[in-house]
Parts: sequence; structure tokens; C-alpha cells
Amino acid sequence: MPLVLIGVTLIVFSMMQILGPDKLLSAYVDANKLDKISIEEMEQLKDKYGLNDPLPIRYGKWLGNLVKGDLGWSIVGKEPVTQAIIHRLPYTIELALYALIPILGIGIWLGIKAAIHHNSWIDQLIRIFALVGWSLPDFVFGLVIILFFYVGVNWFPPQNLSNWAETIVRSAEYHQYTKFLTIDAILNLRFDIFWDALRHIIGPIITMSWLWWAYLLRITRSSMLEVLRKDYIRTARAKGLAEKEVINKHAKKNAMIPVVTVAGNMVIGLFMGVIIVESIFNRTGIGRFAARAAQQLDYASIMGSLLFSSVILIVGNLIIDISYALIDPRIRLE
Amino acid sequence: MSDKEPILKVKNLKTYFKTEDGIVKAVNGIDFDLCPGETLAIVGESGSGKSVTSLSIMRLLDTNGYIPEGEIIYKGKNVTKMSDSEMRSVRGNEIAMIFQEPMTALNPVFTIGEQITEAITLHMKMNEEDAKTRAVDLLRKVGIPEPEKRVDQYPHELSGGMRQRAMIAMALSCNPSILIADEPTTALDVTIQAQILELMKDLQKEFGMAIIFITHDLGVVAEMSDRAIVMYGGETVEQGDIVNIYKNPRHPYTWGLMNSIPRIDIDTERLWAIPGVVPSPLNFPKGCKFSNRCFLASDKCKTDHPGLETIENDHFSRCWHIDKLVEEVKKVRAGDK
Repeated sequence: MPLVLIGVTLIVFSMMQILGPDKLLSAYVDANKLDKISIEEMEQLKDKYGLNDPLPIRYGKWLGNLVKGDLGWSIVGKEPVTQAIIHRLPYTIELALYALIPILGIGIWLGIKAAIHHNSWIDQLIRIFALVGWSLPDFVFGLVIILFFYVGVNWFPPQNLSNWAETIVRSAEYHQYTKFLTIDAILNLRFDIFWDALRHIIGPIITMSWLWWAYLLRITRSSMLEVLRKDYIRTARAKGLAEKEVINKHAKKNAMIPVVTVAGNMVIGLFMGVIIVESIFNRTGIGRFAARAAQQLDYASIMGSLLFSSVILIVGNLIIDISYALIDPRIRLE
Repeated sequence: MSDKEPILKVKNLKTYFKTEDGIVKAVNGIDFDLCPGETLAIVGESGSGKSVTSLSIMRLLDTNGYIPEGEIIYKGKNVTKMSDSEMRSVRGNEIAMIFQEPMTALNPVFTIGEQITEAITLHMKMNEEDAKTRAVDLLRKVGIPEPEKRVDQYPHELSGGMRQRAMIAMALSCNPSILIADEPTTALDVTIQAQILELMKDLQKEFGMAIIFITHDLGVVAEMSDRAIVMYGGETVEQGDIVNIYKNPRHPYTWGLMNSIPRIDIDTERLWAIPGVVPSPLNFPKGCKFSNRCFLASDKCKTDHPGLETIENDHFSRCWHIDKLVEEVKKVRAGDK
């Protein structure tokens, strides 16, 4: 895993070099100032920040800064990139966690239901539902949600909070314990704010979870169908176990093995998916930060987001491997 | 055959499967009785309906299978009419089953102990601790070395023979009165086969259960059983005492099966083979189901379906040419020498 991380930093660093030293300077100096200075001054600045040094030395320095948590200045965030990411992270994590509930709940539950009632009308209905879900891209579905539920009935407005709530949240009396809007609202006993935050987050949750639960459903269904045909399921039935126990104990644990891979990749995918969803719903978070950084060619922020998502990817895969071993004794390490 | 009251009576059992191509009559009228402590062999090729018969008794058919006709009476109660919960209290408790593939019949994600104790706690109302002690005892009884250690291992840590022993331990865990063994040795190599058969015979003496032994291997049948049913195309073609079936087979199919086994006491250049393969269940001939592969088949065989005739006391055969077979067999045997 450390090797993978070093590999990631190498790739990220190499990609930066495509931009050339002039652009790279914007990581250290305000872009407005850069426009006004002369070429000589620019060269001096490049020397000052070591942009004319040989590549390996610059990589070493960059890596050193990275270890210290210094990723440069974010134009979009108007603060250091690390700070910008840390400030936006809770919003994104909150959204991703909430989105997981319908994904895992509905996806796995419906998948198992469909498998048990294989080829019945329940199964057919669930399959049609999943197919529609899987075929609908989130950027289309998000706009549909906005059209109906914001423009139409004003149930699920965009952004993180309404303006009045935002003012209260930023005031001194309001304690931000976890930085999660909904949880902080409950801890501050401001149920009006909780309600407001909930209204703002439901649209993005539906949009984000829609595609993934449909996908998870299909995986769960086919995996469950396969397991239900296995000999050991017949053995379990031959023992006299009730059907409920056969399914919940013997079948489910085996059927979850492929689902874990997908679910793990899905958690990773959720963090990538926020780029679209947060942009559509105009929510503060890592995703919109990355999208805006890309639009404004704010390379330090782009690299920061890239590094961040690589870390999520690597950690996510590690968690997948660990949960594999927990479920399947055959891959447990001695 | 013993004079005891049979614990299992199967009367005119029919098991059909709904498929896209039509109704498959996998079992089409099987009758037999099983007495306590005896071993009945059901013999036949793949697709003869022998496994379906056993699954019908356990009511473990796939969802497209159903029993349109016939009775399965276990201790005076009709299995086909039992409620699901009654059926569950029979499964594993009174009638237990072991399967062909020990590699896949055990759940890979639970330990051997967990899988054995499950049935014990369910049927014998024991607590976990006592159940585990019993599981270790059972594993010792079926000849698994270091049972205390094995009980906490997963199936993949055991060899095929060991797994089949564990399956037997699981089946015997609640002292069943009937054990159905569906080709229990087919997936094992020959030396392990012999060990498992020996073990089953010993356990039968100790536990006193009746065994229904399903196999395609006539050698195994001779070793294990008291009586045999030979099945072809979902029907009984010959049924009787094992000695009678061996010495005086009265159906060309049985005779063909016997002759296709290499024998150490007779020197033959070529082994006899039954021509052709078992037809698809939807394409059996109209008359006698074996007529398209039978060396005795006449026109009558192709149009008229023979009934199960009594040859002598408790020996039955479903053939129009029982007498002709005796003569033919003499000729063939004379030709061999």
C-alpha cells in the first residue's frame, strides 16, 4: 500500500509538470499579482520557489511539503488546498453516508427479495425498476429531481442550507460538534435547522443512491440466485432448518462475498459521484470544489482533489480486502 | 425381507417437473417398503429418477417439481400432505440425508462444528455447549482424527473423505430412523469409498437406522444392501432381494448393468455395454421405456408398456420377455466360455 501511494504521488507530480513553470507559479503567488509583474520578477519568483530546479529535486521538495500537509494555494477556495479540503470534507462525508443507507438497504434487500421470488411478478417488477435505475445517468436524474421537487413543489431546495439557517449555523452560539449539519442541528437542539438540512440533502441522496442501489440490487440478485442453487443450501434444508434461516444464515453470508466488492467500489464511487451531484445541487463539498477547480484551471486544488480521491481509493480497497477475510474463511490469513 | 412393520411405505409415487419443453415425468410410479434397520438400494443410470425419488421423500424438490400422485407414508403419516413445519421436524431429525458431493454439500463459511450443532440444537433442544460436545463425539465416531480440533475448522481445511465423514456425522446427529445416502461415495476415490461404506455399515449396526442407498454402482449395492430397486426412466424395472437380483437378473437392463462390470473371476475380451444412452425424459419410447436399447426388444415392446410382474416371492420385473431372457443369457454365457 505505501508503494501504491508513492506511485500516486509520482503520477500526480508528473501530470503537474505538463503545465510548465509559469502556470505552476500560481500555486504560490496570487494570480492577480502575477498578471502585473515583469518577466524578470517572474524569473526571480520561479527561482525563489525552486521551479527552475531539476525534476527529482522538485519532486523531493513537493513530497516534503506534501508530508507536512502543504499542497499549495487554492484559488477556488481562497485558502490553502489542505484547509479547503478539510473544510469541505464533512459536507461530502455526510452526503455519502446518508446515500449509503438507501443504497445498501434498498439494494441488498430488494436483491434478495427478487432472488427468493425468482421469476415471479415481484422479481420482474424489481428487475424493471433496477434496469430503469441503472440506465438513468445521475446528471439527468438530478436535474429531473430539481425540476419536480424544487422548481415544481419546492420540497428539496439546492445548496446545503437555507440562508436563515446558514446565518445561525455560522453564529458563535451554535456549536459545530461534528461538522455534520444534521447531527449538529440535533445536538444544538435546533430541530428547525435539522429539518432544513434534511430537506436540502434528500435530493442529492436520491440522485446519488439511485444508480448505485440499482447496480447493487442486480449484483445481489444474481449472487443470491447462484448461492440458492448450491448443494449446501439443500443440505441446510435437509437438516430441517426453516426457510428463513436457510436464507438469512446459510445463503446470505455466501451471497455477500461478491456484493462486498461491489459495495466497496461503490463507496469509492460515491466520493467520485459527488462531483456531479454537488455541482447540480450547488452544494458545498469536495465534489463541487474539484469541479470548480477544474473549470478555473486551479491546478493546486485539482491535484489536491486527485490525491484525496486516490487515498480514498486505496483505503477503500484495503477495507474491501479486510471485509472479504471477515466473511470468507477461505481467504483468511493465517 | 424382515417381518417388521415398514417405517416407510412409498406407494405409486409420481414426481413431475414443469419445464419449458413440457412436463417431465422424472418418477412415474414407484412402490417400495422400507423396514427398520434394513438397507434398500436404488440403482440406475443418471436420469433414471433415483435421486428425484429420494428428494421427493424429503420434499426437497426444486420449485418446479411436484408430486401429482402417490403416497409416501412415514410412520403412518403421509409426507406429501404434511405441513411445512411438520416436514421440518422430520427432516434431519427422523429422516436424514447425505449427498454425493462432499466438496459442495458443506457450507464454506461455517465451521464443521457450527454446521453439525445447528441440527442438534434445533431438533434435540440442547444448548450450544452440549451440542458441541455431541458434535465432537459424533466426529470421533465417524473416524475423524483429532475431533476437538476439526470441529472448529472450516470445510476447506478437510479432505474429501473427511468431509463426507463430517456429512455423515451431521446426518446422524439426531439419531434418524432413516438415512438417505445419495451416491455418497461417487465423488471419492476407491480406497476412501471402501472406508466410507464400511463406516456406514458399522454405524447402521450401532444406530439401527434404515438406509436408502442410491447409487449407479452395482458393486457398492452388493456390499451394502439387503434389497434393491433397479430404476429406468422413472420406473422400477426390477425389484427384489439382492441375492436374487445378482444371481438371476430377470430384466435385460439389470442383466446389461451386471455384465458391464468387469469381473475378476470371468475372463472376457470385451465388456458388455448397453447400446445407446438414456433418452431425454421427454423422448422415451411409447411402449417399454427400455425397448430402444434392449437386445430382446420385439414389436410388442415398442407399442405396449409392460407391467411389473411377480417372478417369485418378492422378486418383480417389468419385461415382456422374462423367459426369453433366461434362454438368451444361457446362450451368451455359453458363448463366453
